[in-house]
Amino acid sequence: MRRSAPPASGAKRWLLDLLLGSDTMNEPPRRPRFLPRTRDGWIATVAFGAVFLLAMPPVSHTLLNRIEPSVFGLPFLYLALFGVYAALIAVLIWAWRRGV
Amino acid sequence: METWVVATSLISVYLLITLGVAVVANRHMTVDMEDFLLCGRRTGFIVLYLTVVATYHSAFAFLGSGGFFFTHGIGFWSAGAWTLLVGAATYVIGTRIWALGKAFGYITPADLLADFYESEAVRVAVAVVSVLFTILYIQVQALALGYIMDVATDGRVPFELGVLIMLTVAVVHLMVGGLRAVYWTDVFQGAWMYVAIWAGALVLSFELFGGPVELWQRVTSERPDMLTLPGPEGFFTPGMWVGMVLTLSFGIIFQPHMMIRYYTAVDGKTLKLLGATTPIYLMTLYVPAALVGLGGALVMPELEQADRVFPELLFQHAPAWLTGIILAGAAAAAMSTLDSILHANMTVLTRDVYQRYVARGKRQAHYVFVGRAIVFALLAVAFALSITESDLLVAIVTLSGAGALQLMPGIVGVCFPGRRSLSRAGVLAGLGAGLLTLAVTLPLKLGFALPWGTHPLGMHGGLWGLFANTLLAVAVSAVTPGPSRETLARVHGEVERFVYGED
Repeated sequence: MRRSAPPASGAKRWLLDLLLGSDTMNEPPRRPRFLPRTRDGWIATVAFGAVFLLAMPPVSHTLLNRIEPSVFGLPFLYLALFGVYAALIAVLIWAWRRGV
Repeated sequence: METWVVATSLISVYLLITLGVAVVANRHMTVDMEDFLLCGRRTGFIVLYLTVVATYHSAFAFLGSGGFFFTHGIGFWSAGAWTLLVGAATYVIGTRIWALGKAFGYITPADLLADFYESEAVRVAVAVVSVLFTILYIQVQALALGYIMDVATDGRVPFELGVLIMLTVAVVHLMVGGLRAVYWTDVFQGAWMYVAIWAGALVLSFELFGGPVELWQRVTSERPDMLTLPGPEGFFTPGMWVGMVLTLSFGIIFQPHMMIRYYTAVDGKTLKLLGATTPIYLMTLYVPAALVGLGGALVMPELEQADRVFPELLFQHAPAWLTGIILAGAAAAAMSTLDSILHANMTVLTRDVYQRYVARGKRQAHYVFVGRAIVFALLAVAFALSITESDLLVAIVTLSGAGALQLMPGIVGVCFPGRRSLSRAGVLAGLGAGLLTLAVTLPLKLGFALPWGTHPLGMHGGLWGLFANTLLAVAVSAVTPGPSRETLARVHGEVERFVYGED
């Protein structure tokens, strides 16, 4: 027989409540407010987060941190980051158009 | 005609237009705090867009970013990342702030936090942080205006007098026209500064190097150290990169002059569109700034004050009429932020301090009058700050952003409902810990050297502050009572209704 996990207690429960809980109004359904609730919301959130990480360390300081290969003389780091930023703008506009 | 004559004339024309707009705005104003302070919460997309971008991009984008590229190379291109975070945060958090402001009549950031955490101490703490750190921002703009007048007049108007003239125009314009005048002037200031920086950078690129591509090629061959991280002085370490991205995104949008803009939107959809599209303007403004800074590093490497690279290049290598237009655009960039900050500080001091603790229950006209008097007092503070010694403009802005960033845990607690909330004691303890951490990790000129230096372990002090703040806020909140169930239901219920359309 499957047994459900015992309820968390103490600090662990407090942290879980802080991050995931939703019964401040003491109302069902209990659904998380930090997480998207629609498919489009998930796509926008994951896409933005994933692409944004490309502009952050360690990617920015290792993989992208080079001058070559350059395009029209523009250094790779500059161009790569420009591409990342453009993609992020596209994600935001997509989210707006989808009504996320 | 000499360059300084053209430049000074164009700046004078710009200042006259600014004052003219204030007079027209005054005729549309009613004697009402909400109209004077929030433009009646009826601002549409185009005006809101241009006022947000013009306010966000101040003298530090126009002058300071060129200076940063000049000194630290391509690392400042991280700027694009923080403009994207500004857009996303506006989309997600800004809209929630708007919804709560509309539902409960909030005017200042302190209104939002004090109502939710049911604490006057939180109100005072937030008001103090809001004013204290945005005053640094006033210093940046005033310094830039002094530089611009000094350069535009070729030294004929001394720095101090230039600052005083520009500050006086900003203050008169704000006192006469209120936030409506600020918004209307931001519309043309936002457009002007964008065109000006692009035009200036392109003209200089062609004049000095034969074009932007040739400029990049010269930098690649002569200063390759400028094109990789962490830059020639080792500044852009991973910790600094992340720290600046967070500090200059969340740290700026949580400043009162930006949060107040969220309250003024006509509806939530407008604000979401704003979040989705502002990065286009904000990010692409740093493209010409890179050309200016890196080009300057090639042709005038001996320049002592990096922030002056753009005006100095213009004076030496651009036609007089263009130099005048661009310097007026730089003045517009500084003025558009300065008047917004003065307005925000006036709002905080009038609403959170005077109206609540000094003179309750007066007529609206009385508070509008007091607000104008406060603006006048801020003029004196801004002038005094502007003639003190300064570091790079961007460094001061970063300090300012690091302070406002400490409001983040409290604001997130309001805008994102959870089963348990932060408590007032937690928010206050976190804020205190965050500010204390800033004091010992940022370059604050304490008069003695700290053993761990500034920005310990190569991580920005603002980030250290945020860690300490969040940890203590969560820890203290775990053992102290949070907001009442009624307040949680009211505020978080409103968020739920706005975001998910549910009760």
